[in-house]
Amino acid sequence: MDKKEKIIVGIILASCFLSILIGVVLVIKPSGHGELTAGSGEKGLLSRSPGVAVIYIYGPLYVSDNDVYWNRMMRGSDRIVEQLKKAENNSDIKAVVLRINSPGGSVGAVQEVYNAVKKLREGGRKVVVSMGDVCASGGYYISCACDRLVANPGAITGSIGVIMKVSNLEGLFRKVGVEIEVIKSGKYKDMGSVSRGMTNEERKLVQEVINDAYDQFLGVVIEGRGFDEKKAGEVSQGQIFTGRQAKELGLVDETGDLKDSIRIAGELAGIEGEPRIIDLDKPMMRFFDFVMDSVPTELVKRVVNEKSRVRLEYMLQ
Amino acid sequence: MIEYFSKTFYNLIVRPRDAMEEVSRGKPWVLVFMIFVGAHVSRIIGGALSLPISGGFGRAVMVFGLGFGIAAGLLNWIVVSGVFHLSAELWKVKGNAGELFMMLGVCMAPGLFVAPLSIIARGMGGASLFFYSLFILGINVWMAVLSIMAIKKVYSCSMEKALRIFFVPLFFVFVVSMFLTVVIVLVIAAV
Repeated sequence: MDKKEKIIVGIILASCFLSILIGVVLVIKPSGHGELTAGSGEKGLLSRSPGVAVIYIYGPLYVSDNDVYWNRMMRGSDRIVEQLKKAENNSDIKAVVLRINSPGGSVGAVQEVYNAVKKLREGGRKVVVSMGDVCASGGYYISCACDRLVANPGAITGSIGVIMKVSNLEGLFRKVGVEIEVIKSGKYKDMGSVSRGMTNEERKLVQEVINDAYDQFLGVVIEGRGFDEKKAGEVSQGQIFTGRQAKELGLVDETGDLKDSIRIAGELAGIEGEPRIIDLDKPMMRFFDFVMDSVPTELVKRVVNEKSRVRLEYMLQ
Repeated sequence: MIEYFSKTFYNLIVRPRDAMEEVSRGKPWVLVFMIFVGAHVSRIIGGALSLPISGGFGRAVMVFGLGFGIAAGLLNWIVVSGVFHLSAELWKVKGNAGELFMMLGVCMAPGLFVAPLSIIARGMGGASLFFYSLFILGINVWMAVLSIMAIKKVYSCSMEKALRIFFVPLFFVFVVSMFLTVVIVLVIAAV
């Protein structure tokens, strides 16, 4: 083997080795954009510097027994609470950004997440909300538990209120000759049944339930935003606002995007420079998230199709 | 030893027939395993480079890919060697399965070029995926040609028989995967 051939082999092997090293660096270096690795302050695997965790609340929120582990759009409140608890137990996490892109959800689910956020704050963590496209109704309820509310100027927020929808298919059933026999233990037991309309007495009862849930929401807005009852009542008639309008009304503190929210969270927590982003999703979860991006949403929706059921909702219509 | 490895590697690129002779004679198992590991690491890094991933997620994919990819590659190497040997038996030619296993390991050498080519493809901007696919196609064709030469050498058969030994199992795998794809698509559509 002559010298020239040796040089060729050396160059080939060295370039392959160098390419592998460069490849490793390119793949593991933070992108500097995108939600998974937002912020270029991300450090190495063994870094123990204080950081900010980003928790995503995407889509309608329910206490769900069939949520999809790997899909952010399909996570139930239990998963969100689990992540908040994880942030509470991680001493590296000094602040949390709740990235909310949700029209709300069921009252129970929203209140569970709200309480978990309050507990996190009691533990000394700063919590900042970043409102994506929509952070309305139940999404706003959760936001009221946070230190700082940041919304995109065009984000939809507000819709403070409670709603419950009951279908009345009595006429349709009669038309197709379906008769539903109801045997019940009490006169209100089939209240909200699709087979008949509500009586005035039942409607009054449901209205009282709605009013109570609304009062709870109002109380949260008053406590969270420091409004008096009059002002809280004015902005809580179910109307929606853009992020900019919400800022003028005091419903949010700042207008800005996810990066701004991360920066603000870092400042509130006293982190110097750009904060490190701590991703609470397990790597396998992120892997599935990545894979599921290519699966049509309709298919995922079909897999986790929520059964129709009567429930109180803090939900944007 | 380094001299021998360098010579064999050089010949594999420039004079593959001579390289096959040398490998058949010298049985350089260490070189073969180095090529196998190097080619797989290069393929995994190259594959990761072609995906829009980075940061902590990229790290996770890479760790998972290296662990799983090398194990899967070893299994694939064993299975492919077995299948080609079975195919050769069916075509009534005789040869040593162990030697074929070793030769097929050497034939993975072009895989070493996946990482450098992926970096080049990445530099092509919008057309990176096209170029990456093109490079991968080229490397696979190169590996297929080397494998056919290895089969011809191990079983001392004609080129026609070597082609049959190589392509018939591939065709069979293709038909089975097409069938499975259709079944999976129908099942998904029915959900």
